[in-house]
Amino acid sequence: MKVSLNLSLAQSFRQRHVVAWSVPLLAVSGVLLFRLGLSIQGNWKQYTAVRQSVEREQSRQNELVAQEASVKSKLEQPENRALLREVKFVNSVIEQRRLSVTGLTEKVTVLLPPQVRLAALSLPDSSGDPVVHLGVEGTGEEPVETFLTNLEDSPDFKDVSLLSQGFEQKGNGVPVSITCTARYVGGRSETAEDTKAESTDTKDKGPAKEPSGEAKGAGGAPAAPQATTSPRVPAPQTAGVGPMPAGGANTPGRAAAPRNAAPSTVKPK
Amino acid sequence: MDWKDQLKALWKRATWTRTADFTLPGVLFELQPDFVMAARLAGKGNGDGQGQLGRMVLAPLELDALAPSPSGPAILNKSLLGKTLDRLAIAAGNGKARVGVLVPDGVARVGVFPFEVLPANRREAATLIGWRMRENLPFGPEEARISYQTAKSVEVGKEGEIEVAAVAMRSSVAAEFEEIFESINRSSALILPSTMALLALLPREEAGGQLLVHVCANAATLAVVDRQRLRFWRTRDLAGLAPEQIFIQTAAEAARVVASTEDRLQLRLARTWLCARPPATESWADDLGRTLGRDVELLQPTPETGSLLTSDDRIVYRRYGAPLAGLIANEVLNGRN
Repeated sequence: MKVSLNLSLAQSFRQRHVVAWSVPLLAVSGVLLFRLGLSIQGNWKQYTAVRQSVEREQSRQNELVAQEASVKSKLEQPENRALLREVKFVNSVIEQRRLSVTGLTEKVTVLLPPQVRLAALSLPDSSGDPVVHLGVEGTGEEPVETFLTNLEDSPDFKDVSLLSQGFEQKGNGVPVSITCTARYVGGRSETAEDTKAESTDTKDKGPAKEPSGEAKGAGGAPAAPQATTSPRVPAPQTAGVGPMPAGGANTPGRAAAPRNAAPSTVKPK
Repeated sequence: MDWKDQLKALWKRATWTRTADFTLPGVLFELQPDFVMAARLAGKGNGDGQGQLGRMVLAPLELDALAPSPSGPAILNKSLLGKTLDRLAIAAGNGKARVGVLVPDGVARVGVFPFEVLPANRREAATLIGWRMRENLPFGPEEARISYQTAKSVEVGKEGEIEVAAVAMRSSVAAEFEEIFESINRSSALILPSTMALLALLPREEAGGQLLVHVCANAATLAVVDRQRLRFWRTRDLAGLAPEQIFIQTAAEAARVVASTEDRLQLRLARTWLCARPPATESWADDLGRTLGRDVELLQPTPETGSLLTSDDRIVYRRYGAPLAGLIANEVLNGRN
C-alpha cells in the first residue's frame, strides 16, 4: 500500500527560500554596511573639522574678551580717564557742528542794539565753519559800530570783515547801512560748559591742567569769557590750529575740532 | 468563549500550517520505548545506490526515556534521548540536517472515514477530519496535527464516496519530537507511526484483504488493508505484560479483528502478516497461525534494501529494519505513481 502521509509540517515559503535569499541579502547588507562605514567616516571628519573651527573661534573670542578686559582696565586708570573724557568731548563737538539757521538768527538778533535792525542774512556756504553774510541798518553810525563790536566779541562768530558801508537818506529815516561777513562757529560755548564739570575733576587730578595753560599761551588772544571756560582742551590739539586772527575768539570748539576734518566720531584707542 | 479563547483561535487560524507530503530524507530514525535506530541511505541525493541502506545502527533505550502516550508528554528524558540520538547520528555517518522519524504507534491515532464530499481546501478538510476523529482522540481536535490521504471507494453501492485514512498526533507531542532533533541540529522532515511504514511492504496486487500484526516495544498494532486502501487500524498498549501474555493478548486481538473485518466490513482476509520486533520466540508466526486458524507469514525487510550493509548491520536490519525498508519501498511506490 502506498502511503502519502506525513505528520511533519510543510515548510513555509520563507523556510524554503531562506537559504536562497540569504546570500544576496548578505551581499546587500554588506554593501550597505560598507556605505554606512564610509558615511560615518566622512561625518566624523566633518565633525572634527567643525569642532576644531569652533574651538578656534572660542579661543579667539576668549582672546578678544581678555583684550577687552585689559583695555577696560586700562581705561579705568586715572590717566586714561582724562583721555576718555577728551574723546567724548571731541565727539560731542563734532556732533554739534551741525548748523541750525534758527540758532544762527537767534544769536545774531541778540547782538543787535535797539537802533539797528537786521536787513539781510545769507549763508552761501554751510560746509565747515560757514561764512555768514549780514546786512544791517541803523539809525546812526554809533549803533552800527556797537553791533560790529558785539559781533566781534561774540564767541559764535569770528573773522568779521566789513564789506560795504553806506550813508543813505531813505524814506524810512535809516541813515546807515552796512554789509559784513563773519565765520559762524556757534554752539561751542555750550560744549565747553558741558565739559566744565568733567574738566574740574580732571584738573584736580592733574592731567587736564596742562592743556588749559597751553591753550592760553598758544592762542595769545585776550581772555574772552568763553576762552576762559575752555581750559580743558589739551595743548597739543590747540597748538595744531593756525595763528588766530586779531580779535578772533579762541573757542575751545574750534581748537578741538580740525577745521577741515569730516565730522566723524573719535574713538579712544 | 471569552476573548482569550477567541484570540487563541484567531492566532491558531492565522498560524495554521498544513502537514507536508511524504518525503524520504537521507537519514532515518526510529524511536521506540526500548530502542532507538538510525540508518543512512546510500547515495541519497546523487542517485547512486538509491533505495538501499548504507549504514544502520541501533541502541537500546532505558524504559523511562520515552512514553508512547497520545496525550503526551512523550519524551520523559530529553537529555538521555538527545545524547543517544546524537551518538547514533554520528555513527550513521551522515551530516545531513533533514531526517525522517518513525515514532511509536501509541503516540498517534489512525482512523478511516468515508466522506461523500471532502472540502478542497486542506485546512477545511483537516478541520472536518479532526471533527470526525474527535471521539478517538484523547485531546481536542483543534490540538491535533492531522495528515490524511484519500482513496475512491470501490465497494458496490458506495461508488463516488471518498475514503479518508487519517493519522492524528497532538501538536505538542509532535513538537516534542521535532525539538529533540533540533537539539542535535537536525530537522524532522518526515514523522510517521512505524506501522504506517510497514504497509508499503505488503504485496500490492492481492485479491482480498491483508491483516498486518505489528508487535513492537510492548505494543501491538493491527491494520487491515484492502486493495491499497487502509480499512482498519487498532493499537493496543501491552506495557507491563510478560512476553507470553503479550502473545496471548495479541492473538486474541487479532482474532477479534479477523472476525470484525469479515463480519462488519464484509472483507475476506486473504493473508495475515506478522512483524514482531524483536520476535519473542522463533515460532511466533506458527503459534499465531494456529491460534487464528489461518496461515501467518512473517513480514521481513526486503534483502535488496540491506544489501550494502555489513554483516553485523544486516542482522540488525533483519530483526528491526522492516519499517525503514517500508519507507524506502514507499518512496519507490510514490515515485512509480
